[in-house]
Amino acid sequence: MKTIYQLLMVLLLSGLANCTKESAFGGNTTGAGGSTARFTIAGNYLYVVDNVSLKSFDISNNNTPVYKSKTEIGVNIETIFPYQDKLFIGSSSSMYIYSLSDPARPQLLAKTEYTIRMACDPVVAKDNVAYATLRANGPCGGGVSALVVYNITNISNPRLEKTVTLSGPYGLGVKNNSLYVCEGSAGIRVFNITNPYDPVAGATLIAANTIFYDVIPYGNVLIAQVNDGFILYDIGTNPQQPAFLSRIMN
Amino acid sequence: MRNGFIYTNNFSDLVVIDINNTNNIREVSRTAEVFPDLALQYPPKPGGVGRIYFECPDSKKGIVVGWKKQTIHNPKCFR
Repeated sequence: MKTIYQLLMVLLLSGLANCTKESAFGGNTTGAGGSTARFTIAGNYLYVVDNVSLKSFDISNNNTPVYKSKTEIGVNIETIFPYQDKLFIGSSSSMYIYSLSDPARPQLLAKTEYTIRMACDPVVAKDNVAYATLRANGPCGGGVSALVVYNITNISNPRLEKTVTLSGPYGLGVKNNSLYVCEGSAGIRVFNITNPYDPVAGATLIAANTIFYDVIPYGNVLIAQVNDGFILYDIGTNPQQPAFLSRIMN
Repeated sequence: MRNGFIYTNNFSDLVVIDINNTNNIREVSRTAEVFPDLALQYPPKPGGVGRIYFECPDSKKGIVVGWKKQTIHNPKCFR
């Protein structure tokens, strides 16, 4: 099912990408992916995570990805997110940060163990802050579900700034002063991150019989991946109060 | 998505699809075993279920594209 979602997400975004070359994250990414993605593009490289490792492919020649390297990371690797010249990789117990100064061979900059073990944990990053969600229910283990905020000013030594208890978070997305966190059937929670280290809870977006899995802020549109397709919200008018635009069923 | 090419997966393969000409969308590259954990080598195991048995995949026959629940005799593979 995850595979199908990834494919659909890529197909949907391709339509949008034709309209604009703007990167969703202000970094050097060409495409856009969600926080729960298993592969991503940064510059001329495609990066793929599997359960234990990170692989890099040179895609300068679009037709033929050229395998460059494989880096063993750890266990239970789940998600990959590019930001500027770095990769943020989420596993069930840690957040890893890799440098892309040599894009063919990502180098480990930092590994931060979560204090809450065994959780599903996508990561996003912005300026000097990284946000991760830890989901403790379901197949990911027992314990506490939370949004955790790391200060990454010193990239090799991320510092935990804040923990916000949540009900059961999935993917998350960040744009300017807004952070969007999917909470399954409890909707999307919008946080004000004017103070990036102290998210303030604001609006919650819900829809009947809908489970929210992941979000991608893409220009003025928030793309939400839900159980039966996608919901698009306008975040250009008021990013703190996303307005429903349309729903695309699978 | 980059330069009119979609990068995606088909089971464990990395696949590149050229969509620059929407009247002629085509697969331009396929790299095997990039996503080993998407290879469906085992049937899904529902939560709360103990050991499950299944037919051992024979890689000579290609890749596993799905699993069906059936009665089989003397299965060698389990998880």
